[in-house]
Amino acid sequence: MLTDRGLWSLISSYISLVLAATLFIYPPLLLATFTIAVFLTSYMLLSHRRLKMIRESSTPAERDAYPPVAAVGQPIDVRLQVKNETDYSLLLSVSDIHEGLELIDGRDYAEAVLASGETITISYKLRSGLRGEYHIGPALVRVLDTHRLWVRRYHVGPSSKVLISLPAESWVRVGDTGLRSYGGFGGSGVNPLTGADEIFRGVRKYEDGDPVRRIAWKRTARDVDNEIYLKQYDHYSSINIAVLIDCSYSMAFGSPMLLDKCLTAITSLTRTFLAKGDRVTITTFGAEKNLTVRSSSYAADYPLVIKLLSQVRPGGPYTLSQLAENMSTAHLVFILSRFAYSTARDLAAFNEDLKRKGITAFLICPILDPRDDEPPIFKILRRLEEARLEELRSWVQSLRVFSTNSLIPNMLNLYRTYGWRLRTIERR
Amino acid sequence: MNAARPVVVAVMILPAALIHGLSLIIFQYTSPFVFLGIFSLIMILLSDRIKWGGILTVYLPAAYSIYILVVGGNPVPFISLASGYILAMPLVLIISMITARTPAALIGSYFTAYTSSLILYGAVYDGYNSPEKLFIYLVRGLAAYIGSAESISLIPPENPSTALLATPTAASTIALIIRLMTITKPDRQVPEGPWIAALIQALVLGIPLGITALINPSFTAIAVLITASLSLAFLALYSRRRVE
Repeated sequence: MLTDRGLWSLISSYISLVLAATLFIYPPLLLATFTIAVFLTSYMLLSHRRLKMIRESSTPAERDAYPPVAAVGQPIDVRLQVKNETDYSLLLSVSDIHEGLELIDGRDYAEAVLASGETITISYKLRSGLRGEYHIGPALVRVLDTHRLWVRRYHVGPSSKVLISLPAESWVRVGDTGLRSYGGFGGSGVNPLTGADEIFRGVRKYEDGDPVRRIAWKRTARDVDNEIYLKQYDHYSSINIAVLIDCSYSMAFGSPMLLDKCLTAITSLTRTFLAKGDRVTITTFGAEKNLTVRSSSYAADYPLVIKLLSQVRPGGPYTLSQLAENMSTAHLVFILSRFAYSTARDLAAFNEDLKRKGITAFLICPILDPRDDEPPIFKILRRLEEARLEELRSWVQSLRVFSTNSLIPNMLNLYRTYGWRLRTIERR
Repeated sequence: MNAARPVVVAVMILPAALIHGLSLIIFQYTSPFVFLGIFSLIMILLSDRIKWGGILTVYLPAAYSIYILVVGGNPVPFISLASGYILAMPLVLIISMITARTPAALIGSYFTAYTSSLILYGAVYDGYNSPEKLFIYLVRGLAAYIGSAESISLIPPENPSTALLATPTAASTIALIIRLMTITKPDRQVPEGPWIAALIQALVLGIPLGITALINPSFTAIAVLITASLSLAFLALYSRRRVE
């Protein structure tokens, strides 16, 4: 394709030609402008033919990005090498692509004449102010003709994945939340071996056809009338839980981010719900790339939930009307959002719509816990946020405002209280 | 190539310099302000390098000539200065051609230097060969452009003979192409682009058009436009083909 330089050359030559052929008709000038215009056109045609012979494999690229998992704001060192494996010299321009990551040091492009076998290296540092999975690369290689009038562009090399996660100091707290939800505090937790769906009810006499594994051996041994007793359980059905989480920029503030804290809480709760035998569907909205993760097994699906949620990157705004599609089959729906892009009237209409559809949904607005050392501007912003939430709550009384530290126990309480009602009991 | 560069540049500016030289030879310099005007305009190019040069050589003469016009009621210095500017225009464009650093600037300055020399030649050889007449020619030309005067335009009423400039123009075209291909070079040696082949193609395509210009000059312009458009269309279509 044409470079800027080539394009302007072509434009100026053809403008000259048109003017010479229409305004200043003087044969020598006309033929001169014609020769120049046709020369440039032919040159570009021949350059195109020559450059298209160069394959992507002729300039292989290698990239190192370290560390592959970095904290928010932590520098990532990137080193890209492109080698000329043709038998002749090339005028190469190489630039690396790192969408969403900020260049903080070095240059992410370079231009040089590479002799056969030579390598061009670019080194730079990146960082991200937001969580999520980012891609560095593939590298954009431009092979220019000698006079920079024509260029062949292609991408080479694999892209490197970089995961931007919580800062290291908050990892311990993430572990704490996991313990709190999975341990004795969480869930309907009645039988840690059989799960929440089976609760011991009592014993009865054995009848033909009963499963042998249910025999209450101790009770049978104690009995003097030579009867065999069987353990009886109440089997509770599992429920479908949908968690919708706002991953827009409105959640991307604080240190650690509000979004990170919410995703951590959701991950921990998912672990609890799955361990109890329930099915969980997590849907993000407002993220750069929204995702829906359906999980029904702790062993099989939980690692995937962790992986996918760690890759979520904050994105643009959303509309509440899009959300209702993701909760039609769920018994219990948690919607975590600051509802920053909605007016109180919109939120009230959305809530009414959910009620009309018979969906048991909890609108939860998470807030960061106040810190003693926060600057005065944060206190002012907090008061503004409180006023906004008051306005929302005046329209939607059921809107729950939970601090991030109390998010897990409060959501567990809702799960136990309402989830219990939604289960059906079958005696076994 | 460094030794050949002055020769290439000299050949490249030859037609414009030749036409302009012919204009300057027969022009009647009735006032020293004409020379001052020529000098002033050339100094504009150097005002970056010579501090205060721009002010002293451009604004001072202009202010003085206006002062004489307003206070003394004598328009000759003002008109002569303006005529000097007009006469210096092709020179400035020729200097721009020599100092151009991009292909687009080089082509643009080549064309404008050539055409401005032609316009000036046409005016001077049509009788507008004194400062006052040249100034009137310009004013009437601009007025015609705006559409409020009788029909006179900047299109040269008189052209130099084709035979005079055919050879210098052909040589300067080839010199211009050589200059285009040597205007910037990478620091290290890379294989030359296919410019010799492109030049041969352009010359081969130009031969029938040259013959057309000799046999049927009125058909030349349209033939040139059609051929150039076809070559451009071919470039657009060919380069859009998917690279295997």
